[in-house]
Parts: sequence; C-alpha cells; structure tokens
Amino acid sequence: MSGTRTAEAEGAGFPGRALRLADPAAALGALAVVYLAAFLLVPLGLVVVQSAQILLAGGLADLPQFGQRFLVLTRNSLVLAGLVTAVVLAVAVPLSLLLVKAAPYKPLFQALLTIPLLSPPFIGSFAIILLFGRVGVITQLLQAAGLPTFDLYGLPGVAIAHVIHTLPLAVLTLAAGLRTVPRALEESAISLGGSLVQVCRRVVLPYMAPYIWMSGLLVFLASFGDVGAPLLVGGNYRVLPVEAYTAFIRFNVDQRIPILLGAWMVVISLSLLYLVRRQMRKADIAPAFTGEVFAWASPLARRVALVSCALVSFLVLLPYLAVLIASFGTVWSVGLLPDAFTLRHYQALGTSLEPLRNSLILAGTAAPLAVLLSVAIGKAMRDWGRAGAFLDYVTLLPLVVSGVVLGIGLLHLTGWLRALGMAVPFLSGPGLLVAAYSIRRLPYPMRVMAAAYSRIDRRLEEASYSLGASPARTFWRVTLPQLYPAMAAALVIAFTRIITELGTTLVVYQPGWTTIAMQIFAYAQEGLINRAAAISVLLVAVVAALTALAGVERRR
Amino acid sequence: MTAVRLEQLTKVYPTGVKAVDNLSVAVAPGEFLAILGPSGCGKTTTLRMIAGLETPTAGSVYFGSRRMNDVPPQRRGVGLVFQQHAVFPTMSVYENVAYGLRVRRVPEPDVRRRVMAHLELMGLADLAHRMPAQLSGGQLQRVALARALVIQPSVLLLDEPLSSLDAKLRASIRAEIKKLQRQLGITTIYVTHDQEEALSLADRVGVMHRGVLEQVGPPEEVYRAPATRFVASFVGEATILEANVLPAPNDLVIVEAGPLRLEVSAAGGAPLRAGRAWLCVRPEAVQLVDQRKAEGPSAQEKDATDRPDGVKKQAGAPVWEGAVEHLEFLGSMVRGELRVAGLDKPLLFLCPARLGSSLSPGQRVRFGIDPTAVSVGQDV
Repeated sequence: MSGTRTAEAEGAGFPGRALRLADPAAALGALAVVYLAAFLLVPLGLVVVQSAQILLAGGLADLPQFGQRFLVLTRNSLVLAGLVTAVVLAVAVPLSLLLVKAAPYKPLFQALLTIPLLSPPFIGSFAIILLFGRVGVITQLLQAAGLPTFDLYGLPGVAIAHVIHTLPLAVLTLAAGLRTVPRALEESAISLGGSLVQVCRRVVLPYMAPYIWMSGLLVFLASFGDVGAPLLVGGNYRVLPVEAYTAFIRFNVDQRIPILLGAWMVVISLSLLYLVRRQMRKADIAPAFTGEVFAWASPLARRVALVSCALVSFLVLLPYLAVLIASFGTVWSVGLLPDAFTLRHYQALGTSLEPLRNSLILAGTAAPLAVLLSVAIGKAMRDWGRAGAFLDYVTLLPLVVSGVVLGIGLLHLTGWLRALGMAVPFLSGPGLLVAAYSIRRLPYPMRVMAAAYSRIDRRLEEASYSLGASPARTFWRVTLPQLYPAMAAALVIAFTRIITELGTTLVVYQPGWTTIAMQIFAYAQEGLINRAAAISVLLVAVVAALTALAGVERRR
Repeated sequence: MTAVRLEQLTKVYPTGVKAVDNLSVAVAPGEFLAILGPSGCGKTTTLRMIAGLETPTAGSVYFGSRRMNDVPPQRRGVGLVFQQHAVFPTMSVYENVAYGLRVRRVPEPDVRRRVMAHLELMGLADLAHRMPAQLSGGQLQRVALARALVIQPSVLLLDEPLSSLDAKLRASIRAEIKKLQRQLGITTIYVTHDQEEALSLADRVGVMHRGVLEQVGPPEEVYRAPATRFVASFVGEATILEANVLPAPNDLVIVEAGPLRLEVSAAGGAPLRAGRAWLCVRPEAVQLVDQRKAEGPSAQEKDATDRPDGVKKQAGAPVWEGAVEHLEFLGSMVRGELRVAGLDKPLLFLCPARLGSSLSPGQRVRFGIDPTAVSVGQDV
C-alpha cells in the first residue's frame, strides 16, 4: 500500500520541488502536521518518556504490591478484549456472509446495524443493566423459566456491552470486504464442483482475510481502550483504562501509576497494530472489486439469513429499545415494562440544557477543525511519498490508543508547558477540549478524505498545471471542488463521533463544560437510569437525524 | 464428448429486461461454437445458463439427452474460464489447478499426476509453486484454462477469455486454445465480441443481437451470406445500402440501390420478394478500375485481363464513377470511401497499396462491383 503511494508521489513530480514549497496547500499540510505533532505525538511521547524516566529511577519499588496488580490488570484487559473479539468474529463472519449473499431487505438490516455505531458505547452498558441487572427484564425471564441467572457486574457485563456495541461495526466492515470478492472466483470454484460451505472456506475467507484482521483489530482495540462500560458494569473486574483513569483523577495519588499504565497501553496497542498490519499486508492480494456479488440463490439460505439477521439486529438493538422504554417509564422494578409511563424525564431535561449546549458548541468547533485537518493531511499523505505513508500510520493512532491515555498525555503536556512558564491560552478551558476532540476523532473524517483523494484523477491537476495555473489556484479551483461532497460527509461523521466521545472527555474535563455524554454517564453512575435514558434518546436522535440528513444529501 | 442442446432458452431478469429470447441451438460433440455479439446482447447470460449460474426463465439446456435445468452448477461438470481469469489469489498455481480434483476427492498421487500433466500441457510446469500475484496476465489465463480442463469437463465454456490481454498475447493464446480444443476434442462454447476471434477459432459462429441468435453457421457462411442486416453490419466491414429488389425472371435477382443495379443469384437463404431490401457491399467487392489504363473502352477491356487481384472481369460488366474520400494507409492495403451520386452513404473500398497510393482525396475514379462479394436481404 505504502509502496504504490510512494511511487505515485515520485511519478507526480511535475510541479517540481520548488513549486511545491510555494504551494499554500502544502503549507496547510505542514501546519496540520505541526498540529498533529503537538497534540498527538508529543502528549503520547510525554507519557512514554515519563514512564521510562520512572522505570529508570527505580520504578515503583516503593509500591511493592503494584507489580502484582499490574499483571492482574493486564490479564483482565487482554482476557476481556480477546473474549469480545472471539465472540464478535464468531458471530460476525457467518452473519456478514448471510447478510451480503442471501439476506432479503439488505438496506433495512444495514440501517438497523448502523444505529449502535452512532451512539456512545456506554448507552449500551447502562441499558444492559435494565436487561440483565438484578431486577432486569431478562434476568426476571430467566428466573421465571427456572434457568440460572448470572451476576452482570464484572467480566460478563462488560463483555456483553462490548459485544453488543462492536458487533455491528464488525459485521459492516466484513460485509464491505465481502463485496470486494469478485463473483467470478466463487463461480469458478462452484463450477469446479465445490459446495457453498467449501467455497466459503477455501476461496472467500482467505480472500477477505485482510478485512477479518481489520475488524478483529478494531473490535479488540475498542474493547481494550474503553472506559465507560467497565466503569458502569465492571464491578470488581478492573481493567487498564479504568485503573489509569481512576488513578489519574485522584490527584493526591501518585501520578506515576497512570503514566506507567498509559505507556503500557500505548505499547500493547501499537504492537498489536504492527502485528495485524503485517498480517494484513501479507494477505493484501487484490485490488478492490466493485461488481456484482455472488449471491446464494437457495431459498433455505435466504430463510436462514433472514432469521439470523433479524435475530442479531434485535439483540443488538434491544438495549436501545430498553433505553427508549426507560426514558418514558417511572419505576421499572418488577415486570416486563415500567410501572407507569411519564414525560417527566424529558421535562427535567428542559431545565438543564447546558450539557447539550456545551456539546453542540464543542463538537461544532472541533468537527470543522478535524475536517480541515483531514483535508490538509489527506493531501500531504498523497503528495509526500514516504512521509505521507508515515502520516497514514500516525493518523491511525487516536483510534488505536485509548482515549484515556490521550487525555492523560494532553493534560501532562499543559502541565509541562505551565511548569516551563508558558501558559498557552488555547490550552485551557474549552480550547483544550476542542483540541482533544479534533485529534481523538480525527481517524473518522480522515478515512473519508483519504478515500476522496484517492478517487481524484491526478491528471486533472496536471492538466491545470500545464495550462499555467499555480499550485494554489489548482488546489482551490480543481482539487477542492472535487472534495466538497466528501468534506460534507466527513463533517457529519466527525460531529457525531465527537459528540459521543467519553474517554478523553472524562480525563480532560474542564469546569463548566460538562458535555451531554458526560451527563448521561454521570446520571447512569448515580443510578438515575430514567434520566440518563431520556438524555440518551435525545443524543441518539440528534446524531441519527444528522446522519440521515447527510445520507439524503449524498444521494442528491 | 457431449452434445449441448439449447431449446427455446429464455431469460427475463426481475427488472423486466429480456436478456435471452427463445434461443435454440445444437452443438455437436466435440464442436467449437463461438457466440458472437456486442456487449449486452445476452451472450454471457446464455453461457451462464449453460453453466447453471443463472436459472432460465423458460426453455431447457441439454447435455446429450440429459436435461440439465435442475442440475446445480457443482454437478454439471463444465469447465469455465472467465474474462477476468478468476484464478484464486490465495492459492498457488498448483493448488488452483488441484482445487477441482480435491473437491472430487481424487487420491493425492492422481491429483499430482494430473495437475502436473496439465501444467505441462499449458507450459506452466515451472510456475507450479508461484502465487498468482507473481504471474502475468497471459500466464494467469493459462492457469484458468488448466484448472478448467483438469477436471475433464464434458463441456468447456469460455467467456471472453482473451479480452483482458494485449494484442500479441491474444493471438498466441488464441492459437493455443484452438490447438488444445482439437487435441482434446472437447465440446466448446466460446463467447466473444471480437469477430476475429470468433471467425478464426470456431467451427460454427452464432451471431447474437438483443437476446436473439440471428444466424448460426460456419464462419465463411456468416461472412459471405449474412442472414440479417445486423449480421451483415456486425461481422466484417461492409457498407449497408437501402435497396430495392426488382421483379425478375428465373433465379435471377436484380437489386437496385441508387445508380447501382446488380444481378445476384438467389441461391440459398430466404427467397426475396420484390420491394425494400438491404444490400451489403463488402469493401473487397468494390474494385477500382486501374486509372492509368482506364482510358477508352478498349483500355477497359484490356484492363480486365490483368487486374491486380487476378479476378477476371466479364466483358461488359458495369462500371460506375465516384469521388475518393478518407484514404487510410494500412500497410499492404489502402482503405477508403467512395462517394457516389445517388447513394445514401459512401462505399467502403479496400485496394492493394500499389494501386491505392496513386489516389488522392477528391479524385474521381471508376469502379466495378464483384457480385459474389455482395449480399442482399430483407428485414422481417
């Protein structure tokens, strides 16, 4: 992948190096790279460097019990993320096959599976309390049926929350991968006598191995870095990000612990990214194919697909259904539904619209900033050869590293600057949150813009140069207009991802700037489930409406 | 060797598009049939129905005397080669070719022997353990062919197997396909939009247009005696003129198009009625009279004996006059158009370069028409 990009950049040397330096778009790219370095590489680097200093200074010899605890936390985190990844892949691989090849009503199921992607992960967590908690609906059903129940709080609760939240992501990623398998491959295999199952095993799955690795990595890292679900339903099952976060907010406690934990998480995440990328490159075999998909015509396959897609969609959406019901309910103790229904929780929201306002302001500032960064970095990634390929890695970091760690790094950066006597005005209050968001959610708009750049025909720009236009004019009049639709899409994605962010927000929180996601989380932690539910419904509605609007816009 | 018979095969897609319309054709055991047509004419759909990858809306597919409609593609025993070669990118060349034998649970020593024999046959033996990404387009297509042949299919189906290759490779693989097919005697159906491929490879060519098989016959027949206006225009170069058939005695047919008035024999084909018709004039039918010698009637007589193409012209054959347009130098030949007063379009002509090099645009020349390279038909 990086190889072709390098070759392209060298081949496209037409405007020449001197011209390129005069290119304001390149200057914009350089600025964006400085921004990336300041708010991503330096904070993460600080965490790693400081942890190295701590280790060199004798480590935590004064805290002898910590070593043991460290091992337990690491084991817990890896067990949780490994379990979630295994379960999700075991369900998502066959389900994506059924969805793409046999299911009727594909657009409907696609849309249903998108809903969990639009909402903060922890909405699912407190919703499963409603379902699986001590008086949860499903717990009651199990008891009524005389079946054993289990204690939600701990590994089961977190794992269920993570599986439900990441399953749709895995299914949709794999489905996208399946659509790249050329139909002729499967038809050849079938006509050579292979059965459907055998063709899937020998031909289809090996072909889409990169997508399986990719979705496995995304699921693993999402589970590994999440702080919301373990805080809500983790009970005594402590994992690395939770420990890092709780140690961090107790300022009176030794700050060496969150630093060490953060650095350790960076190391684990990056090693994993490196290993998986290597596997993906090994398996990277064919250019994307966009033709017809080989469909399974058998009525049995269609029926199995319909039932399993409906079942999984229902299970994945059940928590959201529970949230919706709870938002209108009074006390929901015994029974399948709340005792009575009321609009009270929504009315209560009216009195405290401040978190919503804060979120809209922060996301409304950070999202355009993130899009601007993606436009500048996207161009640099395309034009800068090997350095561009490196940027490709760097912009993945916020997705790979836990939001908690990024937050810790950012606060240490400001603390460090303050210690140096430099009070940067932008780096306190809402400014710091905006900076944090624009970096933390950068991978989402970045992916959209990178794809958009790759679709642009370089010859158009070359034609513009040959007609005597300057690089600035070419970028402004030829390149940028082709990016407008993608920029609109990137803006919506950035906005919705920012407004649902929690991990970094919890750490970087600035007084007076409680966000809607924090508010939900706080209510849920305090046990004000109905209120949390009402505000969640509001948040999901805002995000869904924006996404639908963007969808309509794109089709036009 | 298996005969393939299609009976009133029809495919209507859910969108209402009628891709294949009431198509019937019988392919003899060991025969090589090419289905030729422009893209979207339904030729690929036909092939896919034979392979079992599409379900016919109506009609039947027979292999020998067995109706295949309800036989799944896995059990039809056809060898299938696609345009985009479709070599499994995750398996080595050897594994690709072995795939069909492995699913048949052929014992491993036999797999090895047969795979190596076929790799040898296709000149791929040295590449057995390469991955597809390391092969060229031509090599990949040969792997696809070896993979299709190793299962000893009863029928070989090829869907534009050469169209993703460059011209030189195309010619060499075309020759290989022809040789293999003769050698193995396997019933073969070859779908293509390239008339050169179809005409040079096949025992018979079927020309397809808008879902209908308009003519099936040996390549020469399809070229010399096109059955429909479409076949006339699609196969080979031609000028298709609007014409009139005049009532005439005996077997003689007199066709008139503007100033052209030709006598053609009505042997074979549907009998012509008096009335509107199309006239297909192949470029080689237009014979320029050598301008240097074409002075006066006696010169014309003399000219008839030593025409460059050696065809003796009957005394008194009619000669017309036209203006040269659009000359193209093609190496050994010169191709051009003649604008003739009274004709609805210019006539294409082709003449040897040594004759054509003296021509210049706008020049007025005289020409005759060889009636054996002309065909007439009527739209139904």
